[in-house]
Amino acid sequence: MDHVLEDAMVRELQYSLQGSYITKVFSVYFGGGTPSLARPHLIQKVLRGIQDVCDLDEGAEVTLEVNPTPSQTNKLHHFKAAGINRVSIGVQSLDNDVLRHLNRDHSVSDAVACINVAQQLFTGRVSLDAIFGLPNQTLERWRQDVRTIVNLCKDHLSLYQLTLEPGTQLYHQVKSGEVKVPCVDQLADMYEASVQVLKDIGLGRYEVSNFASNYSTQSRHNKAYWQASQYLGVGPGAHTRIVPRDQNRENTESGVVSNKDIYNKEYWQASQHLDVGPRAHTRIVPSDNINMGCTESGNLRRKNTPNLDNSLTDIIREARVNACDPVSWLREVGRKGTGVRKVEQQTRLDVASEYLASGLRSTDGVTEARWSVFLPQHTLYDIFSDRAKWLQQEQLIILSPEGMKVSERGLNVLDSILPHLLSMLVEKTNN
Amino acid sequence: MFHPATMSRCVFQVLIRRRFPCHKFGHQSSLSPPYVSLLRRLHDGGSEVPDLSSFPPNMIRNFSIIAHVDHGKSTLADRILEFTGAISKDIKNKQVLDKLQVERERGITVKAQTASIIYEHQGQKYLLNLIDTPGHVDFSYEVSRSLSACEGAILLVDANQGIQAQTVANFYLAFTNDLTIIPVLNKIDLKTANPEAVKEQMFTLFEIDPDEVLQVSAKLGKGVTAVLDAVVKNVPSPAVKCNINTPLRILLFDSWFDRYRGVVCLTLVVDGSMKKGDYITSSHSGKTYEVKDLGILTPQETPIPHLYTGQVGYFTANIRDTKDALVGDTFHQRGAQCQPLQGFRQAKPMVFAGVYPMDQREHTALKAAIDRLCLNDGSVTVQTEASSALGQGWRLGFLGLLHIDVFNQRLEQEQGAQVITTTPSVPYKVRIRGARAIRDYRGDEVMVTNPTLWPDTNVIVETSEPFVLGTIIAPDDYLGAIIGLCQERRGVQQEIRNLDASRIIMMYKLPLNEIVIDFFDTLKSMTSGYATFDYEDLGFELSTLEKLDILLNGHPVPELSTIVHSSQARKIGKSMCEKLKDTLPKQMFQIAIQACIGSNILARTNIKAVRKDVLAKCYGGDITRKMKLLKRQAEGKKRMKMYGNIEVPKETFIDILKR
Repeated sequence: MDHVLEDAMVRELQYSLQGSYITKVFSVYFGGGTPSLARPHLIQKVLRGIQDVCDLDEGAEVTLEVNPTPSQTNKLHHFKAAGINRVSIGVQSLDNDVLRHLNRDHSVSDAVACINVAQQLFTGRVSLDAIFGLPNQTLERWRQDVRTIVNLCKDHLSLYQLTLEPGTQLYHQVKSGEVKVPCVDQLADMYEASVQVLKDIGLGRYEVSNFASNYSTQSRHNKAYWQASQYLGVGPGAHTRIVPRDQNRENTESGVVSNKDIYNKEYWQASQHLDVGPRAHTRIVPSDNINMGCTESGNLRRKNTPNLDNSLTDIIREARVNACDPVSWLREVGRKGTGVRKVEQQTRLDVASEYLASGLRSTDGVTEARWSVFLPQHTLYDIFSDRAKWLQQEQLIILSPEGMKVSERGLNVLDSILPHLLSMLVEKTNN
Repeated sequence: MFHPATMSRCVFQVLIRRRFPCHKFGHQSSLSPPYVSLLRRLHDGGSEVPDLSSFPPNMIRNFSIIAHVDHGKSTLADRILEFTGAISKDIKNKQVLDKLQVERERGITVKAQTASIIYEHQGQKYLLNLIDTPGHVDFSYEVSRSLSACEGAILLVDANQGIQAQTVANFYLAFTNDLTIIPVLNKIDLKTANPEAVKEQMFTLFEIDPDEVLQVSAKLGKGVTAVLDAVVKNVPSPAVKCNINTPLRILLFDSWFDRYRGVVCLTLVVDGSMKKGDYITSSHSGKTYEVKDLGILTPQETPIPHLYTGQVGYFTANIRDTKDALVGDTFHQRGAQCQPLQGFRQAKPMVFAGVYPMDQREHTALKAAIDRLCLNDGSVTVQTEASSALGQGWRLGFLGLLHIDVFNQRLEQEQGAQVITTTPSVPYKVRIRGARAIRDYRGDEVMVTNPTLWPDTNVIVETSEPFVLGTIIAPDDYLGAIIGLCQERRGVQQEIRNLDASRIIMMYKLPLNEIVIDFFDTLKSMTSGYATFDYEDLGFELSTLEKLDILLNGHPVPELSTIVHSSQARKIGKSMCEKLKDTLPKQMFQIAIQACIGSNILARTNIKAVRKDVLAKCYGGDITRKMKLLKRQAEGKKRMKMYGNIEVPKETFIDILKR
């Protein structure tokens, strides 16, 4: 069975790469809720599969998500041998009470052991996950927990706040009052405390929920998401953003943007990333897949033809979602070479909006240079200098000729800022 | 305005006449057998059509029943109708009318109804016209018009509960209309009845001789004959004010809209006589109509060829708008010179409220629903109004608190309209100076019904607001509490008396503004439900009024401005600030809420900034989900009202502004 799944993943991967302009891959991420399914052999097969159809950058970041169970820990050196050079360990907590609450199948000592092994194998490239906002968690206890975790490994930390998903047992317990979770103010305290603790230890916040000791330990793969780069997801439920190869437009008349032109921009080239693994368990909510349509292979049209002057509506990218359920996904791959269930064509405005929403999460913000790749018609400065004056005056955003960022405080309330900015973008582009 | 929507559904327990008759009423074909007996009596001559020519004014008595709610007015009316054969005993209480849901829910009785009956007294047949009146002083003008069609009134008091506030208000209305009062105690069959004590109250308050007070049990039908005998004996006949031989002159004292026939008018023929085909002219509008149909209420509509002097009946004349058939108007023969009857004025709305569709897409449907209701109720005034917070709507003017409640409830229940009704307010008069201001406002006196139209402080000479005379009757244990309440509401004590050993009657002059919101509810709850309250208009009086503004980080929010008395400004400002603090969502920065008059800040509170609203991870698959949400939120920004940098969601406005 493993072979069947693995072969299907490689098949989908190659199918998608060949249907794109991608010539080089810069990062690969093996993730998903059950990475233990993955055998070191899969890593080998995937990396080789990439190299068969295009280049894998020499310094490519190849990350594996790991649960710190003894069996996973024992396999780490095999994974390294297969090509993994970075690990993200789902530690969550070094507090046994917390781990029990989360129903994790590892103990504190398992986690510590895993971190130790990982640090020896992947020096400087170990990332840990930590979670807060748990039932009965106090500020002090959390502060202690995050300090303990990060003291074990000071490379990289991803911070999560517990979210109550409807349908889970915890959700019902909280709703019924049986279990109490920290209130909004307490959560804010915890978040602020973590930022401070991590800063004191030497980890800077480079994204809303990601902290790193320096530029080189930041996750190259995740940064690609926030820069609205192309990425290609493989496996059930995987998401993809890609400029598809356009058979019909290889030699189009001048004045009409071809996908090739977009692809040729250096920023697109600079970041091709690959997600591999059954991600459905962690990254996808089923509701995303309610309106599954038939897959149309990249036959791109302008949305509001025939007005060709309105290039904001150029389709420049596709957003694809794979079938969530592994059986369907496998069947689709077997039939067509890909398990894509839903394709959404993205206009310049769509892509720019995504860049804005995800780019501002990182401390790098959004840059004019990159923005002009997506939306050359309007600079960030044109759009926001007047409209968002009040956000600048409140020192929530910082606008410069190079681009736009949010301040430290702005980062905390980004979800309140973004709807305003998107509304301004729409307003500007409607004129 | 300022108070939370504490006003419960039932503002006053009242007795209200069928102000809003349904169109089902009065199909003559639906006459059921019991009425035949009356018709037969009317048809003495054997002809098919009843003839009232045998009832000259001296054989007619026009009277009404006035009572507090639940004191048995409708039961007594039913007994009178049964007794005279107008309705059957077998189908009692089901006979007269369709009732409106709102009236059922409120315990507002509508059964008592204008009806013509024949009563034999000492061998003589009399035509008695029982004229119904709206029980509530909201409609006091209309009550007084109805009463002006009568020469006498049965003052009905529950022998157990004694005199209540409404009894007092109604008594004075009847008294000022020079009506002969027939005092009657009802429910004397109950064990708790204490007729002597109540007679004592009647003497104390109204100087009614205890020996003249009749005692009945309307429920058992006991004593009803005596009441009718007293009506015949004591109530003067309309001959005192009517002339048989002068040109037609009629008083319109009630009207309702019928989908097929237009407005149905209830009238008293004061002078002359009236027949089908007559052309009559309204003194108020000058419009002329042809009388299409004519009849009496028995209580069903019964067509007759003639209405004679002193008689009461209905007519239709293809009048398409209730605003053309105003209560109190005089109609006369076309072309004839006519002195209009005294006392006519257009009912002036005293309580205003904004009405907005919950969803702006329902604007047209709501407009149609309001129009339909107004067809039947000419006293509601309608002005379009636009609020940047609530959208397009209307400012409706009502006669009083019950009126506004009844109207709203009907809007929701009968028309199925989802509406936001703003806190009721009253009209204010502002005298202004300066040629320019006077030109702009087209006069030196401005009637302000919407705070955003309040003139600039510099041009204001003086301000006045409507006052009422409130009557409160309650057990004397609550004296202190009630005085406290009235003082807090700027009340000025006019009189306090003992009604009997344990109850007091208090008269307070109160600004209408202070009672429009929750006065009655507060009074009821502080007296465990024992107090009764009623009021009558006193008109406008000078008062120190100011416009209270609400600022968010220094930016005014015009929708939240309100007119207040200077003594209440601080208190109201404070409560507005607190309420906003509770309803306005936290934003990205601290918000200072201030209540001020001009530049003078009276109250202030802060809403702390949101500290953190972001943390959910955002990798590959999360972005799609996130964008969906953001798109919706960004879309919402377009509709969000901004004051400076502060967003005020529609829900906040609704919470603050609604009743």
